[in-house]
Amino acid sequence: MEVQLQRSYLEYSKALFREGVLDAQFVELQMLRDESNPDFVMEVVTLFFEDSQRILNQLSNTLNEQSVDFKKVDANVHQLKGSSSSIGALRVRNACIAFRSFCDAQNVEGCLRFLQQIKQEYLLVKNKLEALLRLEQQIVAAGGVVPVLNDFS
Amino acid sequence: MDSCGFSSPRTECFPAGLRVLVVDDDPTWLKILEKMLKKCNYEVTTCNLAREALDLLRERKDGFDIVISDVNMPDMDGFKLLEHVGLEMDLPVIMMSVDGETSRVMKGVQHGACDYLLKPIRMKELRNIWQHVFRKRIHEVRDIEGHESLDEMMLRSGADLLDDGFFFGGDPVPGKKRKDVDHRSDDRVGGDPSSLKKARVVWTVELHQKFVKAVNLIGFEKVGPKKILDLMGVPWLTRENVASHLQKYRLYLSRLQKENELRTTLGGTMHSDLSPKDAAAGPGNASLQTLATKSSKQNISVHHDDPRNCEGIAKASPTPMAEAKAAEISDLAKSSTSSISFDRPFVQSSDAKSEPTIQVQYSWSAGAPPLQFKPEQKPQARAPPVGFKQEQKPPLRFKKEQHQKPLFVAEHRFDHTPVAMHHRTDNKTSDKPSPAATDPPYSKAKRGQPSKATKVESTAALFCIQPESPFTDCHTIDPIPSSIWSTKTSQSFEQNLYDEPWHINALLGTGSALACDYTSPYPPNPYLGTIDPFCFNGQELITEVTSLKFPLDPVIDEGLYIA
Repeated sequence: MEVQLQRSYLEYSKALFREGVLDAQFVELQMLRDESNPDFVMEVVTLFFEDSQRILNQLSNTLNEQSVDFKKVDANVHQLKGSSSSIGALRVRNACIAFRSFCDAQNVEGCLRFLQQIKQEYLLVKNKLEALLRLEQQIVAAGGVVPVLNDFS
Repeated sequence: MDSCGFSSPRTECFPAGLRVLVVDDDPTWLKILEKMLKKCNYEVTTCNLAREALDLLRERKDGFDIVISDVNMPDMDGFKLLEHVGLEMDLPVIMMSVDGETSRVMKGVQHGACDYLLKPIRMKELRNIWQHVFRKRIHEVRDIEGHESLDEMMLRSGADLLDDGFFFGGDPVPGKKRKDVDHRSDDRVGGDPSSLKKARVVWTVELHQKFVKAVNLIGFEKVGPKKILDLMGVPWLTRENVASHLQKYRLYLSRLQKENELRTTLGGTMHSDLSPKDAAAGPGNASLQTLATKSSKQNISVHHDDPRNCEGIAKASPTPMAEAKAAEISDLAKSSTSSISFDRPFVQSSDAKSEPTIQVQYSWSAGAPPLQFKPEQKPQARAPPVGFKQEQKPPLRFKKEQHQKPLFVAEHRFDHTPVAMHHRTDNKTSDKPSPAATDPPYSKAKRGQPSKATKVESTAALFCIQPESPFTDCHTIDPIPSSIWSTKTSQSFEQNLYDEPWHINALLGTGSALACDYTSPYPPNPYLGTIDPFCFNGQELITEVTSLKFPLDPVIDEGLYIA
């Protein structure tokens, strides 16, 4: 049973890597997990979700103000870029980089539109990660070992 | 975790147990880094606010080996933190950021970062951070004059080291005297830096001033850690500490010199380029920038937190000073204030303006007298090199000179500056002993002479010591001297100038052009402060100066003529 789960897990993750939702950094995270801290990845990912949500809210607020403070916007995006890089949320990260150009141009409309894009990417990676971690839990519950990921596979 | 105690010498386990402080406002990264570092067997402390990190570092003065910090943080700029840490604690700092633009990385290095990591960071990058700690230790030891220190260290930690066969990984360190240590062939992992580590000394302003005073008394040429130590009369200080600090001081001076050169090249305004920089840094911070430059050199921990960073900065490698100086010069040029705002770091002087330490108050505005010194190699008949000749744009002068010696010296109280300045300019008084000769026009700097307000002058004088380049430029100072320096003493200066070997040279000693542009915030303050930097008795100075060849490069080459 766990073999099946494991296989699903691997395939699922392979797809994520292929689509660029996650990158090698996620593999690094997996490698940090050990006996003393088996839920490490889960904890980190949770932190990421919380932090990202906070930043996205801030971004929304800043952009919806009467007079937009682009410095703040830029700082927020930078933060999001940094934190998405921590878990390997590649698409989110790339979206942040692209967002920068709207920000530089001080284009509020463009920024707002692009913010939606970022949010979408974020939700995507959030869902995928949650699914992946659920699979992991199932494997462990079934007595199996979570396979080591390989993003080049 | 590893069995190595964290607070005890990790002789056997280095680099395990390395005490790392991680500062990052991103909670996800903080957690990840903590985990990664723990996996490397390091002892990790995390902090998500820069201020907190600084407090922590200050509280536990000797509690960390290395700091890793993010560049973008809400409460404080990472670069600022970097500067503070470098100055106050003299710890290696690694910067990290998700932004890898060359300019940012450059900035990091300039501010003193020993490495710049790009996020996402892999564990393998963290594994080797111990090399920065080790490297620093080795350099510290190596910098110690006289290799006895190494011996001492060996003796001290000899038992530990020898037993484990550790020591500076076979570095060709002054280990000639390594007693029975021939473990060089042994494990070159390098001795446990912790055991080699000297007690981390906090070079406060006062301490530094004592140091400078001692150096000046001895004479830069003859300076040596043991002598300095004896003169300083600080019981708990060791020879090693002094030697290491001396090294830094020298570097600082040479850095100042470079800055001066830079300044001169900037053209009169010199500082326009620099000052903004400095300005940006803010008092004290500015210096950091310069100091940052010194990052390449040892980080002299400046313990100043406050704008008097100058002091600290001064300590930093001389190069920063040079820059600082340059900046200052420009500042001076600009500001009509009398205080010479040497580079920010020293800027203190400008800030402090009357800061005791940095007398530098040259009113550079006038024309950055300091610059003047430089150009003239020969103080002769030039108006006090101090060139505050505001009219003249001393900075320009510097251009000529190549080196502007870190004026630090000048900074010290330029009170006597008049002397110094005149020294150079000596033009009048012929006291100038052949410019080439030692006589740094400034030597007259008679520190002792309370030049009237000429603080600047003295500094100017100091700086003018342009190595090699004839002080011709300095001469230009003539006109200024009076204006700059408290003007009144110009006459006296001249006399004085030649009377005493320009300490400045000594001060500037670092081989860098004794830029009159004392702008370098460095030295002036810290050293000058209470110390009469130019305590050099004229006589001594002269002799020394000769070797220094004031405003000549040679002076600089002579070594730090630490005033």
